[in-house]
Amino acid sequence: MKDPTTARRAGRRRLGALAAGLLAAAALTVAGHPVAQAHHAHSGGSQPHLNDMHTWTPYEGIEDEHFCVQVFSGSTHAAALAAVKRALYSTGRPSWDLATTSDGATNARVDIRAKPSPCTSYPSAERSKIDFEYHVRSSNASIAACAYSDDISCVEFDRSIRSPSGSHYDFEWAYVYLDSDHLDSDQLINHETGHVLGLMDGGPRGGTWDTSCSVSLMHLPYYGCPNNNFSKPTDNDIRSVRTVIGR
Amino acid sequence: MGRPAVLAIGSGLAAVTVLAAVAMGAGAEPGHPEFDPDSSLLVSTRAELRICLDTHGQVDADRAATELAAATAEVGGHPDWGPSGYGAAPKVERGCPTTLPGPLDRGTVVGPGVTATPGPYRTVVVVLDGPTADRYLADAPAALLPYERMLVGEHVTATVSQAVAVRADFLGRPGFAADYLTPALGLDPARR
Repeated sequence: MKDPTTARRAGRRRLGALAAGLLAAAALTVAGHPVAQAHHAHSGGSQPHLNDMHTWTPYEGIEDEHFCVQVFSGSTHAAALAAVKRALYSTGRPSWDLATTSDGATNARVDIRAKPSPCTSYPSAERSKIDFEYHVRSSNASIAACAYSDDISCVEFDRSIRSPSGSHYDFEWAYVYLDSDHLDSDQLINHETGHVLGLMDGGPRGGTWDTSCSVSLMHLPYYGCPNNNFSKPTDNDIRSVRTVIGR
Repeated sequence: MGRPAVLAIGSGLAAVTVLAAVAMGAGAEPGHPEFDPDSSLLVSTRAELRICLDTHGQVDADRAATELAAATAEVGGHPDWGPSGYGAAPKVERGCPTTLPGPLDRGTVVGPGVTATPGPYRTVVVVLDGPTADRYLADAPAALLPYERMLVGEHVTATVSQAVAVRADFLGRPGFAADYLTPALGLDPARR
């Protein structure tokens, strides 16, 4: 996902978009439409997501969704962690925390909690329990999921595991690769976090079959929905996450 | 009709032909790999569990294959082995080149990375001799790493082939099967 408000990189963005488009087109052609199969229809179908979303405890524990921040370039750990927490916690609770909605604790299976130190500072055994990591770079030109492009943020899932219900395979870990220029955008941080929780892009230029401009943080102006300039998840997004949880 | 017009028409027809062929090929050809999260094998074109072995350094490959086969058989006792659609423990195969790009931290890709055509192996085991393991794994006995990934959204990828890098002297120990090979096969270690 790119930042549409960053004018100074417009030329490079266009090149990045072209590269991303070519990559997506190549994937559509060569891989048998994997993008077209990536539903944002809230069915929970082929939407990769974190395994821990299916489980919860009433206290902080391994079932919660823990994240850490690692800065490689373009920022400091303190600034990047503050930016991510600002985006996720501006209301005092994580925007994606289902406990903030009316159905209360029994659906509080998304309970995002920040780890205070850089990801690589944790011993491997402890780090392995951190569900997702925000990796910050001044450019994601070295990251495949970001189409090797500057000014693009993206998500990678790792360690597939059988879901508690046995109905599908989801992922133990996810990585959000954030361009450091996106740290000032709650919209982009929450959009990428939406991917971690199983949501896909949508809109006329969203690259999925869901070309509607439904009220969603995943159907942004960048994808052809000019009125959807959200910075937080909408009720539709929370419903979508709940559907993914229910698989 | 002038030469430029003929060239233009010819180019147009060629383009249409290519586009049509691409469209037909993309839509009609069976066996295109697709990300399949409903299957333990993760890729639509995989029909059975296959495990591959690669080595780095002075590793006795035959011994490593034997120990890996034993570890796989041990994981076969996991309660979700059968429900995952895995049959008899697969034999260990060779032929999955791996790279060690640097310290094998979480997320380090040791295989082809993002690809539209992932290979047949659900799991790749990378065995390192002592000096190589000291260099790349530091103090860890093993590490779970991505081998192949597929694009599942415009800027979203998912690992579809899981690698586990392991010290040669840890391969035959119970901890390898329980704590590393089990999750590398998509099974929950906590349920064993």
